[in-house]
Amino acid sequence: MTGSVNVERLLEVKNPPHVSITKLNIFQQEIDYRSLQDSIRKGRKWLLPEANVNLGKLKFDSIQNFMLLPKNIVFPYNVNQVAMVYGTTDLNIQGNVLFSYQLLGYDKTWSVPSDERIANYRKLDPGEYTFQVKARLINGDFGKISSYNFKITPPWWQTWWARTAYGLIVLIFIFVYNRWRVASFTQRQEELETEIEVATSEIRKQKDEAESHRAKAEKSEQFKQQFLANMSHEIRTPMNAVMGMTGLVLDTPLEIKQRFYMEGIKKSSDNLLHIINDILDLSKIEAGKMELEHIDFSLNELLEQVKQTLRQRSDEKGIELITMINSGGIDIVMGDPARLNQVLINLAGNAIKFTEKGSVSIEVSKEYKGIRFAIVDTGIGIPADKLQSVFENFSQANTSDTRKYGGTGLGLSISRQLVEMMGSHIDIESQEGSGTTFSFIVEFENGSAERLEQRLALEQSVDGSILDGLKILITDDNEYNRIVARDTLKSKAKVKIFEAANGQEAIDLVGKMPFDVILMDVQMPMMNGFDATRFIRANFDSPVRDTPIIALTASVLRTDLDKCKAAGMDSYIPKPFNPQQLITGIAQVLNITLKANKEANPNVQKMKPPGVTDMAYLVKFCEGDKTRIMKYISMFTSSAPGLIEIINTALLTNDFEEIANQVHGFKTKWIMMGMTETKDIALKLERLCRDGSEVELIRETVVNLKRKIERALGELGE
Amino acid sequence: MEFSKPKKIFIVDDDEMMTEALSDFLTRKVAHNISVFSTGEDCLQHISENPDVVILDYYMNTVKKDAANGLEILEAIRKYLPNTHFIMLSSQESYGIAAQTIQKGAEYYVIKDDDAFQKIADLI
Repeated sequence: MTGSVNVERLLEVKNPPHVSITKLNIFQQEIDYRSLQDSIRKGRKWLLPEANVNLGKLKFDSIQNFMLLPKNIVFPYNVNQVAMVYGTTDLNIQGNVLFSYQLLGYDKTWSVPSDERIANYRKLDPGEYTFQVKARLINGDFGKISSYNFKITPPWWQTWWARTAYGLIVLIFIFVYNRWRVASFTQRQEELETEIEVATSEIRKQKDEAESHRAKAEKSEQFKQQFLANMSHEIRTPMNAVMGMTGLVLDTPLEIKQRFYMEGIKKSSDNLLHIINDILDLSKIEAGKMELEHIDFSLNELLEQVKQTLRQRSDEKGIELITMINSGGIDIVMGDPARLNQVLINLAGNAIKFTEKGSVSIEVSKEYKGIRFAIVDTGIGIPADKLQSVFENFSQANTSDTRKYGGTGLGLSISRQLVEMMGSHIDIESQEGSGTTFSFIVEFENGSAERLEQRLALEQSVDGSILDGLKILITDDNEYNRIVARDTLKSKAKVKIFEAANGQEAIDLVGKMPFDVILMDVQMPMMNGFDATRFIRANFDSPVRDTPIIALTASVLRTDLDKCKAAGMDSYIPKPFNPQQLITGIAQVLNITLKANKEANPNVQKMKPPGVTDMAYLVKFCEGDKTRIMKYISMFTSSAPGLIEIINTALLTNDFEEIANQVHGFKTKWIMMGMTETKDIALKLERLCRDGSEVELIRETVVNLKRKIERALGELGE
Repeated sequence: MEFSKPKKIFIVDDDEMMTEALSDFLTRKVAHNISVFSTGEDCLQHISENPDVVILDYYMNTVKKDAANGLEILEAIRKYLPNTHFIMLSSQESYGIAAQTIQKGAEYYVIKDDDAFQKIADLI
């Protein structure tokens, strides 16, 4: 019965049931919020024994009158287990009601409807929550939602300011760390820098030291070179006067006694010059500045010369001087006859010096490898332990020998090094008391008799009269040297001589009148020879500008000779000079045909001197056919001015490539015209132009080349 | 080259002194039939004459800036003239150029020097 009534009633009830939240349990305990409010007001603790939580710190606005629930309650973070108890107020339909709830902020959906009347929540995170619950009849609709708000505050370390503080701390930390890192970097860097600084300054110091050592060494080497150059100049200059004047005096009528004394002076100065030359040679060899010539010479004649030179010495000592030559028919070879002569005279002269009786023989023989020269003496010999040291500078086997035998002790050292430069070495065999043999083998290229004749012709004594009528300017600051040059020239030829004591005076004179040739000392006060030459080449008009200038230089160092050339001088005559050198030197630059003395080689007259051009090649090429010779000459004379023009134009625009190309194309022409020196200059110019860096040198070389071509055109015009 | 009778010889060089002297020299030795060309292009127009020997200057840029050099000419005409002997002339000794020249089919590399004419005559 009852059941049916119930069911009917149930069916009758159309309105959904009203749901209300009745309790808020904390940690599964019902709380009496009124008394809790009391305790809070009084500041008393309210402990939940099971949860070990003090509820005395809870906050809420008020307590709802009817349900006794606190309004807007705020839990601390550790009160995170709550339970909501709810129910419906309609007592008649209890048991048939289904509830659904959700906690906004926690649940995502409504709970599955059930008749459960409590919703438990554990471990709620801090945050704001709204608990909602609704109810319906089994087959009815949900009614109004009841809700309840509460809040769980985060712990202080999770609050926004705490988070901000964390951020700040992290930032500060990062900042500090960075500062520290930068600081430590900086510090490390500073340390490194300091270390580097220290190391660098150490290295710099070492470098400076090394540099200054090197500079010192270089300077001292330079000083040495300069000293030698100066010495050679300083000594050779007065020597020039002594020897020149001695020669002049000896050319005058003299009493027998006077002649004897003068001969003594001549011989002594010859010796002195010899010693100076030795010292210079050695320093040149050691500085790597010695260059061997590669010219034709006759072995037989060389040996004869050596014999002639030494004859007097051997005769004086009563020693036999023997020369034996068995060169297997080889006579004319290519090499440096002057240096070979020097070596043989040194070795044989030494042999004579140390031989008291017996003989000294110079033997020349053909060996498999080349020509062997052996100097065999029957002298005192050299002790075995001193065999090697004889080649050292200033060394003689026994120092007391120096006093007895004289000599600088440089001869052997020079000889050894010269022979080495010839690609050989000196062997010594010696037995004390029974004699010594010095020997060396040199491999020679075969020479040409024809070339040798040509060369000798030029070196032959010449007749000074070829210079007759010339106007010559002698520039030298040393009065005696001027006198020597003047009187030598005047004694050999009918020439007009003008004198200048320095470069400035020379320029002044050149400005007043033209000269055929200028002899120019290099080192002079006021204005030196280089500057004077450059001035004349640059500031006068043709033909005065092109007056041949011959350097008179006591320096024989290659660098000094190069300087002469670079300054625009045409050639040089070494001081001290002999009359022949002076005449030949002047004749050569003026391209005057040398005439031999009566007693000289009759071939000489046929020979042409080396001007800029040499027709020998062309004449031979054309087999003497004049028409053809003229054809080639006119091909040259018609194209050469064009070359100069093109070079001039290219020089204006620094088009070195063009100069190189043009000069390159002239090689055959130089060869055909016998312009050997010009060919070398052209090659040098081409090389310089291809490189293109040494503009100054290019310009100098161009000027040089142009002068050669102009002179060649002059020569060929004849 | 074993020749004794006159040959047809081409000389290609822009240096007139060289061509004149060389043809002069060679003509006097044996009465060769010599043609002279100042550029490779000129020479190329006459290769139908089928010369026995071609003498080429390596460096040909003196007069005409963009002229083909000896090596280029050699390369261009070598294929038309399988039986011709080639001689390269050069002003300077250069192993590199010599090697290239030989590689490109010239048999001889002669330096323009005092005895260049004789050397060429000996070769021909």
